[in-house]
Amino acid sequence: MRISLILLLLPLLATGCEHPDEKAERVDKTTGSWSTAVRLTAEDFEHAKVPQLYVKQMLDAAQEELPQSHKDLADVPPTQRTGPDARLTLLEARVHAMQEALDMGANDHLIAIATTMPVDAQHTKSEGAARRSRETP
Amino acid sequence: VNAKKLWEIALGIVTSVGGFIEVGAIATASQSGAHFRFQLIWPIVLGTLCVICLIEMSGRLAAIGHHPLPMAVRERFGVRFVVWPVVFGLIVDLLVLASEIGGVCIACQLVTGIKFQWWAIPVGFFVWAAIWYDTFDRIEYGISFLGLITLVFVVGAFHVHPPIAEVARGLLPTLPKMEATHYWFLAVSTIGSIIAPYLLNFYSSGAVEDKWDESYLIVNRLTAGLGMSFGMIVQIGVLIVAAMILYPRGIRVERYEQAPLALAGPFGIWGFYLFAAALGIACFGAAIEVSMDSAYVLSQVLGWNWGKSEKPAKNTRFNLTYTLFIIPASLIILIGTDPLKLTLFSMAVTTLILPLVVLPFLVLMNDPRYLGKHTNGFAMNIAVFVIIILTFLLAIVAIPLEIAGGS
Repeated sequence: MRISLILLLLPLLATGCEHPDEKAERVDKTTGSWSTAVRLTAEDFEHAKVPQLYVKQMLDAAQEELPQSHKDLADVPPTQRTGPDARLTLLEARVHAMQEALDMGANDHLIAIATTMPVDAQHTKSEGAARRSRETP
Repeated sequence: VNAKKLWEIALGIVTSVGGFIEVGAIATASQSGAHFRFQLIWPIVLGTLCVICLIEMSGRLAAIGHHPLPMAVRERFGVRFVVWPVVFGLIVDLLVLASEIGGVCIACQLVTGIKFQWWAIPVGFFVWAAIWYDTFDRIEYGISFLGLITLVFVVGAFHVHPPIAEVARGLLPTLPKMEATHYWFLAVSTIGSIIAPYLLNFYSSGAVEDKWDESYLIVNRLTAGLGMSFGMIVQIGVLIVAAMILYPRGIRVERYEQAPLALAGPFGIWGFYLFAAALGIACFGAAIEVSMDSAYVLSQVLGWNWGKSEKPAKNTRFNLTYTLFIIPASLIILIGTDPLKLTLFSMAVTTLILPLVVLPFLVLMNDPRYLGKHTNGFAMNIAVFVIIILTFLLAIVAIPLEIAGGS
């Protein structure tokens, strides 16, 4: 019984605390994911591939999820969190601006903001590559 | 095999395909494709191989032994033995039902823009009403035919022209290059989404209600084999569209709201609405099955009248069970629980109870008192045993790691 308990708890003890590097990397990936998702949604909206109410849902979802990433970064040493924090804050500001544009019916402005958003760099090495991949079906 | 049986085989296959995809399949396959491209196709194949065996076994038990699974286990091992498996099974059923209701609510949100929480009670009510007022056949076949809308994922997968060699490589297990914990957690959740105990209970109870006999063995075998295999192709389709559309852009599907982008890419606005329809219908069908499963399990274990063939007044406790079961499941969504996280968690937890369900089932399937000369073969016993135990061990390690990692 005791051995089973130790075996069960071993993985938890081994990784009870996520390494700050990993945490910062995870937050960066989340930021990149939302950035690309919001941008792609706006572009799809521009091409009438998704309805306007979906854009609002995506922006709402991003605004609900991103604060959690700020909380995650709180445990990361300041030297390691500067970059991810800045990118996260910038994304939040852009999402907020897009939300305002959407509420005012300024769709052109919304799309203009979206085009300034970086796409995630994890898989696509450059924005050009991302644009090319977006053009594929 | 006469014309009637051929019709039943066709119906059974359509039902299996239409009913294969549910919230767990969509959630796990979308996230697997978005995070790991084609690398996690193998758990879908492994889970399907196992569920084909298990579904065939539960149909055989119903046709030869004329017992649904929970009733047979209770009869063979006694009430004391089944208490904990039933309690854990019902807890997992509750989580899965909440996930399915959450999936329907998200579909409603996508189409209307009204937040998913507001849909929890109406959806719960419609699930209840469908079971209360409909007959078993109409529920089973009606929802499954509508569920064929999930074939849109297969069409989508062909439309995006995936690299066949890479897809084929995904059939074999490989070690992840990064995010190992999440990789294994998703593998476990994927298997959990496919080998759902409620499917076995629902299938065997339905077969007993339909009065299957030995002549149905071929229907059973073909329904399980072909139906589940085609269903697997749909789930792989979900993974492929996510891998082709979302993965290259780094969109990780951390919320359901991100998932429709996978179909909006190839199909435009119709893709968006088809995604919502597929999610809504598939989850609605599964919600009905899980709700009925709770009633089947409890009634059969406690010796109450059970069945959908009778009017509710004849099976009051059976009908009361699913009625009471739907309420807390709807409340879980009403309070705003994230449906995607709930789904992934409940699918992973499902794998933890699999040994409790499957190991007694294996013993039953080797008992000539129930199966006569139709007991399991050695290969089937070993295949099911190994897959279930490996998945269980993987789940014991992967679930705590995932939780500790904060994902």
